[in-house]
Amino acid sequence: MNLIQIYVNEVVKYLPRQLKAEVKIELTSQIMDMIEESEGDEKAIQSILEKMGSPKDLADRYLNKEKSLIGPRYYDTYTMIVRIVMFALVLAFSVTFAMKLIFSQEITGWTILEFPLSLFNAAIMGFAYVTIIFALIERNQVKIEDEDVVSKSWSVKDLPKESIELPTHRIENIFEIGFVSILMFIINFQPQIIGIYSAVVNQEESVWTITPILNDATRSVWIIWVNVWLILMLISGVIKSIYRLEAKHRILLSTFFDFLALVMFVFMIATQNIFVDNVAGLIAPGNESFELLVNRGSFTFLVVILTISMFDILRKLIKVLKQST
Amino acid sequence: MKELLEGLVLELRRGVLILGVLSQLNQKEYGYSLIQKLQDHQFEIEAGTLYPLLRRLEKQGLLESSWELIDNRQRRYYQISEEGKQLYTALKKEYQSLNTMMNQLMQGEEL
Repeated sequence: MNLIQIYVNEVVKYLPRQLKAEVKIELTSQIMDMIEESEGDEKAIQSILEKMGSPKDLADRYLNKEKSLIGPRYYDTYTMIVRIVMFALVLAFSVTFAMKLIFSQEITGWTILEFPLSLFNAAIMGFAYVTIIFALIERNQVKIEDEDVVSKSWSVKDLPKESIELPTHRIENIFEIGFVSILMFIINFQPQIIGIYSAVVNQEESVWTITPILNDATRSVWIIWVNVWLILMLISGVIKSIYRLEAKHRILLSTFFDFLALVMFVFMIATQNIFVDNVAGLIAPGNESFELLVNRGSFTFLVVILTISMFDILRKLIKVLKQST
Repeated sequence: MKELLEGLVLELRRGVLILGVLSQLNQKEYGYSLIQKLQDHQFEIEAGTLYPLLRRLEKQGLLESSWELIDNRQRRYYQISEEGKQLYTALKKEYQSLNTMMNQLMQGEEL
């Protein structure tokens, strides 16, 4: 891959999808015109590219630099994430609605009306969260630069050895954002769905019941912390999806929010009464060995989750350190 | 002092950038030929500034563009549009009036 291709690829990396193809052809052609007029050797090419400025500076000039809530650089990622969140919410809504219809003993008019209302509220909440996160990222990224000021510190040597086209999104990011959105919907609007499902045989007729495991009595306190935790995970998912942020910057920021989310998770589990007491007792009353098994099992599960998360955070930090050296 | 002056000169130049570019696009030009044309009139402009500017002016409807195949390579030519001509005439008038006013203001005001 020659220097011009690498440079052009680096420029279009910072541009929204709809601009990429056209700018790529046009910029390549314009640089070729300049090279034809010069001696065309490697040094002349380097000098021309350095005069053009760093790829990010040049990409900034292609974008309308008027301050906006969500600028053109992140707009297509923003619309993609809003779509993922909305899809996840509709999915969560459909599943919980179906479960409520199957397991609820009494279906009233309010039950039917409550669901579309909760979907509407969740959609507004999801939209607001994603918009605020992007607005904050935009606010921190927009630099009002002088049109003629070319980054003096930038040199062709800063270009990567080769430039690979980055995918617009990764499947794990879609799942992460979708999972957080579904959890947000359920925890905030249908928490009674999270429970123990059991069939009670009553006069030759089996009736399904749901015993909620989330502590309703302390809900007004823990719901705030759970939402903070979910927002931190959403921020991390959004940052991972923005390929136009520099890789190092992106990994560092998302790891920082992953770490905060982990701290928040530990804090929630340790200090908040999220779950009702004696969950095992609700499943099998009086069975002490089962109770011990459930308690030890959930503790082991927590330790495994925390260990995996810590290793993941360390792995990312090592990756950034390796990139820096 | 030197930095301050450079910043102010930059501001001045930025103000006339679009006027200078529009003035040279009565005939179709491609990016680099326009840089050279402007340089012939001692109007220095960096490629990294001009190329994105051409796209923005086209998006605003002030320029028209067409792709042509020259020596097996696509090249994009730009020319001022009808809307651009109207804007250019109005902008030129404003500039001239501003220039006259500034000359009068600064006449005999040697500090």
